[in-house]
Amino acid sequence: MTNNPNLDDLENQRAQGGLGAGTVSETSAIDESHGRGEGVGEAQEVQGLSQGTIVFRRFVRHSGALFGMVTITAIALLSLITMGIGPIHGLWWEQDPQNPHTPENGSAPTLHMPKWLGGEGFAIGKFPFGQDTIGRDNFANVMLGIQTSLTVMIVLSIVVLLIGTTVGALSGYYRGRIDNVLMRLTDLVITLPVIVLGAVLGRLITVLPTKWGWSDSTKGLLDRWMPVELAIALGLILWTGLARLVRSEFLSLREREFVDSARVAGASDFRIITKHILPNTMGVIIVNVSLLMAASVVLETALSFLGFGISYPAVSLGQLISQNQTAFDTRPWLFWWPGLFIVLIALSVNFIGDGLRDAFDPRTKKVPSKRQMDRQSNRTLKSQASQKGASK
Amino acid sequence: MIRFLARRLLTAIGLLLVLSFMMYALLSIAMDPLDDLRISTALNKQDLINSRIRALHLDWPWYRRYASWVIHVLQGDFGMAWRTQQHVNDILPGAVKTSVQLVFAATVLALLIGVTVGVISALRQYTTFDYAITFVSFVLYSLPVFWVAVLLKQFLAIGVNDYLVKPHIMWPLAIVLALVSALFWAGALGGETRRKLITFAVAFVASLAALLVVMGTNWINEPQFGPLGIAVIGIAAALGVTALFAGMHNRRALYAALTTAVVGVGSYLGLRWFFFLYSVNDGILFVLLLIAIGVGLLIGFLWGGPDRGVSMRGGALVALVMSVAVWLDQLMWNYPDYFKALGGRPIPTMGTSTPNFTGDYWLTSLDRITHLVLPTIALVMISFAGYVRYERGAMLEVLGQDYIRTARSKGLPERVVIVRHALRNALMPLASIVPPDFIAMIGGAVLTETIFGWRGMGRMFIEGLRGSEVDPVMIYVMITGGLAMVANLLADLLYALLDPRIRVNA
Amino acid sequence: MSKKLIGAAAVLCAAALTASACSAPERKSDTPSSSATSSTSTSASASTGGEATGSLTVLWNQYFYALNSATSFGNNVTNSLITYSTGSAAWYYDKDLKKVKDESFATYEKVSDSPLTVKETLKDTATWSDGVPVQACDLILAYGAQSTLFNTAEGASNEETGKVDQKGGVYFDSSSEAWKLIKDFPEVGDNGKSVTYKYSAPYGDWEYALFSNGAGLPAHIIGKKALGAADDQAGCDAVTKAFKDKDKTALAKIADVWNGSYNFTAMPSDKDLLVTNGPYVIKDMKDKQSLTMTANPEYKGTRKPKIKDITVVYNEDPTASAQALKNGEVSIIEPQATADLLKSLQGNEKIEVLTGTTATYEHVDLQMKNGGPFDPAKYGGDAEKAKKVRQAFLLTIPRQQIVDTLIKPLNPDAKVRDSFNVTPGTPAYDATVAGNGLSAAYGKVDIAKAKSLLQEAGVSNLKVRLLYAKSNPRRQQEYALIAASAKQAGIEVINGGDDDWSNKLGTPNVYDASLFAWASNNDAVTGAAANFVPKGQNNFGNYNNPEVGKMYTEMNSLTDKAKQDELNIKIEKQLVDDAFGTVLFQHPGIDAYDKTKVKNVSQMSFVPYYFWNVWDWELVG
Repeated sequence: MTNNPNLDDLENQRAQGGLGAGTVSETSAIDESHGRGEGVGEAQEVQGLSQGTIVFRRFVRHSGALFGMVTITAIALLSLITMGIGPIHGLWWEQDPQNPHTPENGSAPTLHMPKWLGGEGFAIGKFPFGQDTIGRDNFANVMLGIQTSLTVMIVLSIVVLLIGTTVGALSGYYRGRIDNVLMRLTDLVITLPVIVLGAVLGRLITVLPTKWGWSDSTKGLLDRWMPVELAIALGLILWTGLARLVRSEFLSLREREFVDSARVAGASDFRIITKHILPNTMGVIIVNVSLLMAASVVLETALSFLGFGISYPAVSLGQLISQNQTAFDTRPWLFWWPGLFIVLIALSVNFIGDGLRDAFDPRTKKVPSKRQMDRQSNRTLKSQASQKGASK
Repeated sequence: MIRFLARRLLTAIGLLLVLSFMMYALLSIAMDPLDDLRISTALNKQDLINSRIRALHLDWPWYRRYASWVIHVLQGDFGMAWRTQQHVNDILPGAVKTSVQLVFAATVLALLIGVTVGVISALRQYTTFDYAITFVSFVLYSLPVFWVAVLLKQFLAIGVNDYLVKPHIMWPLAIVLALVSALFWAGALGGETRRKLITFAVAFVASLAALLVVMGTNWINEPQFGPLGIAVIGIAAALGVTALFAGMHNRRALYAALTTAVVGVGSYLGLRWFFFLYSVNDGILFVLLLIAIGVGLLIGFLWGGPDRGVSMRGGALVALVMSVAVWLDQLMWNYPDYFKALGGRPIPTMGTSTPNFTGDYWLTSLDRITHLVLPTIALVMISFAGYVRYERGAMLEVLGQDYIRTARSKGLPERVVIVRHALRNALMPLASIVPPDFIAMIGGAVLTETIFGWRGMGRMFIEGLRGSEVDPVMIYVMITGGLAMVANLLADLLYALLDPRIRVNA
Repeated sequence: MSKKLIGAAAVLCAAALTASACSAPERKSDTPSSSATSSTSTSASASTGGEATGSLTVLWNQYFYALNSATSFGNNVTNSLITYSTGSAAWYYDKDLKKVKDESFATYEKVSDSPLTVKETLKDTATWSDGVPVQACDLILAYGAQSTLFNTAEGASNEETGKVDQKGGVYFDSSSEAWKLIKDFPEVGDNGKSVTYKYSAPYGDWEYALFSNGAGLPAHIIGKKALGAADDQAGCDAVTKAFKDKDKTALAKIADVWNGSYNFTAMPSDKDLLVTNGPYVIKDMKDKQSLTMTANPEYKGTRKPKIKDITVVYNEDPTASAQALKNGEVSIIEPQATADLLKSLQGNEKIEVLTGTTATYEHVDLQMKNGGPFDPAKYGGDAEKAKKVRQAFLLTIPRQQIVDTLIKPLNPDAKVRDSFNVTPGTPAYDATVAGNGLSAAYGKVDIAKAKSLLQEAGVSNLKVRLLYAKSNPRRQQEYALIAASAKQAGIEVINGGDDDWSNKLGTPNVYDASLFAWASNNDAVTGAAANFVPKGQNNFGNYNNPEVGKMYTEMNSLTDKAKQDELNIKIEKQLVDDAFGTVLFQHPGIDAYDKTKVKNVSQMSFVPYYFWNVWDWELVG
């Protein structure tokens, strides 16, 4: 995102409603810092920076979000490096998670903690997360499950992004009949509990290919791409919230002066929507989608648990848990590892979403402690004094 | 207004019709009612298949079945869950009741706890407390419910029941719990370091003492507040309510609250005899509650003071707290009987009630409550997180508004600013999310119902879908769809009612 | 002023407290107002004098919904458990799968072999729970309703009757091959206490038929409800008369009650519907959650129950049921078996775990009419070549390994099943295994032999599409094991896992081999015919050997069990020689009970599973 006058316009507008922030002029910032201490430092930090940089800096400062970023990157890398992606093989010696092996260590995990953690010396072993009933590698399965979760998350958010933004933008910008029709469509989809449509669509995926007599290889492909299909299906249901949000943003933004001026300057509707209004709604969109991503991880596992989601030969974390539910007090590793990764992934994405929200929203900002405030006001007083001195 | 309502309702009906058509089409593709018969080894397999085709009109095209379905539904016949030959009309009321029972308590609890914690979290923004709450709520939000349910059953049901066989003091647990509670209170109450330390110490000692009493004495098997406990609760409620809503300087309000507490303690003794001598039911108790609140209002009215309304509300609130306390005490009073009747394992892992369990109001209520414990915890854990996040955001937004700054600059005490100015406005948006949430839970508690063996709407749907029974699935879709529309409408209306800036446009 | 007030309040408080100390009612633990009874109450102590006492709660996975388990909808295991406990029959299977005759209910004998004639005589001790004796009219009702000979409405399979207006017709939603062949109206004798059936064609499994239709529903109640008969005897007679005269109006009314009135998940308002003739009667039902049976006070037979009330609660989740057992909420469970569940139950000292088998068995069938690798058509009609390919594939199926890795952990005594038709543990099993040659042919995986067979057939790059139920974890695991083993012989087993598999069984083009299970709940022999005879309704693989068809025709005319078994060995031998397919294992079953609460619980492979000796259960302590 570049520094763009329309955005400043919005920021100023918001700044009026909320606490003074965003790209306010230097003098007013100083004045305010005298007035109430709030917003001290904020104005200086953002001086002369583009919106994108501001958002980025705020995001990075959000320690939760940073934690989320690091964790999810680590998890994704671990999964990619060990299992590879698609036909490209990873480094993990055991590439085929469906292949049964003779049990080692009584099927228990061969992963041992280092001595300083109370373990018996660090070791990865052959099956770090243990083996299941017939000796399949739990580690390979969990890693594949992670890929599934991430795939579902990404594909789903793309679908939601496309549909939600388009529908929201069109109905918010054109209003009238288009708005009416699109919003009724939204109402229709929104009334259905996700789990219902998910279940029915999941069932359709398995039934239709037979009905239409597709060949085995096509069906094999369909099976392998199950996560993507499920994600698309879920995306087709979950776009409604975003559409509503985008619509309401558009409704208010389209009345603003910068849109009028663009229109007067002869810009086409398409250009106004994509170049002038849409960039201003980016914050809302990004935040909403990131939270949706977190929800989708849990949703996918729930569907798989009920048996309507991802099924063999595709692997998902929810499916692993539901299969190994009974193992929880005899072979706990089959139950805990997939659960742990579900929680970690969902947690990270939630934190990232939270960080994004804070970063995009100028109203939620760090309230400095009393000490910071004093220090800051001293500094501004000094700089004012030196400025005055320089001008003399 | 009426035109608005009429238009919305008409649209809703139209949408429902479209919805039903789409769903019926999808379901007729997805379902295969004959699947189990194809691999039947029955000698009369062909007869069975014919009989089913005949019963389900599988020889008709699906749109003809849909038309017949619509006509029947319009006549009030919701069809049949054919595998078990149950009329949907017979299943539905039970399923709805079960679902509402399950979800109601959970929603109320989640709302109360979530909103309180959210508000405190917002007031302590960017403190360690705030971060901790954020972290905990995100963790809860990320937990798959089926995963948690298994753990809950293992530790909270089987574990606690095993513990109850021979209760003893578990020091590590007691100390950890006391620490957590102390940290919570220190963080929530906040203030300077010294104040925090004092809060921490007091909370730690108090929690530890309470835990030791519960674990060490026989309290856990024969729990009660007793008159002393009720008196302490009453006075604490009186002080707390006054401090929050009126301020200690409002003496009249304080006296009103205290008087209500004293009257409450007095009537507790009478009520004990009343409950002992007469059997009660929900209706009688509700009337008693109304009387109590009326008495509270009356006491507030009599004390009057600069702001009569505040005194009255304070009295009513204290009366409410006291009533709940007395009710809980009476339940506890009956608990030993229940404990004995269940063979010393009071917390069940599944079902809505103990089969063949009979008893008076108090015992059956206990039975209902113990069965609600685990599923309610599971549901609260999920929705709690949402409410915390939502309310924290709303509160922060309100706190950033100009009028709050104005209120502060007028020199109003912080309590007044927060309770009177900020909190009210921060609660308003809840009106638009609670109704749809509640409805979504009724339809969406599928997993919870499955795991805890509750036969609500969600089970009806899942069983129907698995068993290729189109009628219950369709009714489920219609009801959740219809309710969702009503809930959205209700949310809009409520919001318009609460927020004068919004007008309902015809 | 304010301090004074607070002081006053404090005094008031204190006064109230002291007052309360003397006046509050005592804990009412010992007062009679608590009328709580419990599911697992300890009131069982005195089981003297043979009177049933105490109560017990057990768990099943699906809720009861029909007391008439003879309709097409009511015919379900979960209903059978209850109808078995509340009903009586001339014989039942014990845990060793031997037939035990209940002569306190009825006796039967074969009167003649040609035409096959069977006589059933009811005993005086056979009584309905409302005190009315069981009579011939009850047997006539069972016969009439299930023979389909009286159906006139559309959908009835009776070929003689044409298409009749659906509304006015008679339609009993039940059918049984065993009764269809009794075309002559049965003869009632011995003062309404005996019935003689005459078969119009030979029927091998007549004895089994008497078992599954022993109890039925009370004709006198149905007579009163459907036909408005004045008293019990009149109701009984009216039903017999309606069938005898083929009175369509009356039969239509009877059919309505038969099909519709006995489906309920909550207590019916009409208690007459709960009249049964077994050791127990239904006492209470909580909508789909639980059902309580109580000892039948009118029961005069030999299967006298020892526990007064038995409550069955329902939950389908295996983890949930295991946790309920551990938590003491229920005392007997039969969860879907997994190794982990077994281990976790065995780890609990108060729980006794029984392992064994259930009535279902897993098998692999080959598809021989789809132009695929097992179809002679692929080799230009060379049947011999196709057979070699089939044999090669069957040789690679690691039957022992599948049993060892998947089943042994659940049932330490598990063995590979070596017979197509005979359930292990039944009396005829050992002789059959010795004679049919299945274990000799495919007892061990033989990769080398498989390879050489393929070479002889000149087939390389063999690809086999294996159809199975995708969402069943055990089948996935079986597939994984089969695929891994076949790979060694150069056979690629293509994953044909599919949730819609049952639909696809009848579509030969989409698979070459199928992996699924049959359920066999009896030791009757004629039922299996449908799997193997040409064009049999369960012959999904289109196996076509007229010889087998002929042998099954012969089978029907044999009414002697020993001769039937002998012929069956011949049939199975033929199946092995033709490389029809193979059989893997009997599904394992787990029963677990709380031995601190109940004893005399044992496992049985057939329906009604652990309920088979419900009357023998006894409370402990």
